[in-house]
Amino acid sequence: MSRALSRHAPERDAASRPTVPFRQFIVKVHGRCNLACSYCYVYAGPDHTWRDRPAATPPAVLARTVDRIAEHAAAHRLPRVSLVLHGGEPLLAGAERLADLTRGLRARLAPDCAVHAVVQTNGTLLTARRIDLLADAGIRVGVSLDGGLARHNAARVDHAGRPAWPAAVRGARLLAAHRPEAYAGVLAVVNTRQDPVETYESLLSLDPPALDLLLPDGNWSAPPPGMRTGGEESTPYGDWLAAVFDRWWHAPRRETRIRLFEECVALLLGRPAATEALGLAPFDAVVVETDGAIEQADALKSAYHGAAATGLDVFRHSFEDALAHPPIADRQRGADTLAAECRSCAVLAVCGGGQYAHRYRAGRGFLNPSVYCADLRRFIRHVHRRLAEVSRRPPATAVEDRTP
Amino acid sequence: MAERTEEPVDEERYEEPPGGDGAVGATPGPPGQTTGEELPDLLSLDLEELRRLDHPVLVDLLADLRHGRDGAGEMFWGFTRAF
Repeated sequence: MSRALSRHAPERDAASRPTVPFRQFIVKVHGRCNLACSYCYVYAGPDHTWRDRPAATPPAVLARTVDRIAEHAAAHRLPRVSLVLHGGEPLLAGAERLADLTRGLRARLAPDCAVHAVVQTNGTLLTARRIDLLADAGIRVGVSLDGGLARHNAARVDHAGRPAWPAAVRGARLLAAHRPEAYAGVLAVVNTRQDPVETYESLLSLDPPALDLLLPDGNWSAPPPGMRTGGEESTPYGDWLAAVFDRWWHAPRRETRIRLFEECVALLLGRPAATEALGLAPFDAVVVETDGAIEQADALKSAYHGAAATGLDVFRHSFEDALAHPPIADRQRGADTLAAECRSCAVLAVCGGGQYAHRYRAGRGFLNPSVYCADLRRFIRHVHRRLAEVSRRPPATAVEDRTP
Repeated sequence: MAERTEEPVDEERYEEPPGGDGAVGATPGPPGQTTGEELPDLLSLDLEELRRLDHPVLVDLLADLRHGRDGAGEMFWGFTRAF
């Protein structure tokens, strides 16, 4: 395997390595959801901290969170921050409240600090009025759907077991038609029981400017669906992603952006990438829960109860305090905190050990390769192969010659 | 406020099958393993030359790498549960 994939940061003493400030702030604006998706890492996993937290985030928590973000941004002179309005289902907090929160943060930050605000919703509560409120406040809207057909979303149901699909697809289509400039894209969880190309093409029918394909939550002690497959190494998720990649890659134009694919290409070309799914970039996101608790990215909740907790909160602690919290600091140390198998792996620089939560094994913590290790290798090598093929082509005669 | 919870040893829920690995089909390879053919080093590729190739998806992607990550356009962020 090429040197490109095996490069990683030289060993450095952890104390001498500067921490990277938080740039992405995930604010849980509501702690409940109107859906009960069977695979939800918040409500259907081992973590049940949500039960002891407020459903609606109190104004005092939101105000203090804004204070803390502004404090952190000023201290580090950040040119931009990402505000992620999350949940539960964030629209249960009310679109006006989300707009007020975002405007309040913008007013507190320096004029040269841009706020990239997004709300990640299940789409069922989107109306034209709510979309306008969000868009007019500069909030982009991301929708969570597992495909563009009803049967792709069988696991996404409400608390009475009724399919969320009709309301969700109505919301997504309304967003695309009514305020396309506010449409951030669609997040879909990979389901290997669904045809990959059909899934992708059905998602395209929703006109997303961007997609991301998320590997299901799972780890060595609670494997993802379809992972137990006999003695031979199999790569169902790698194969699935490779199939979608080829469909996307060989299209006559870029039909949508796919974050996982684009970040993989960027990493293979030696460019920095920003995704917790790949690469060794310091992780710079932090979560504020509905009671003000400062937590790690909540995908960790899929590992065990309380896995995301830090013991910190916005009333008593700053985000600087959170940066010093050892598990958070560890996620900024690149390859140093990876398992030995990862550090010596040929695809380390691109894989980066994969999503942190996927490395968990009961009794051993997170110092393991990803449960998706073989799939990630399969996928990365596939993308590498496609890039190599393209690089051997002769250049186009002229850019203008390319058929639009 | 959630207390920090120690990692549980909940064998009833997290019982691993014989062999030690809960995910049989995803055993990581040995250190430094390479599988299949050797693939060329991509780091030496000239991005300007790549931009001149007749590959619309790659050309668009490279344009984003050049412009979007400098803040001129919408950029991707690290947290994967949102855009």
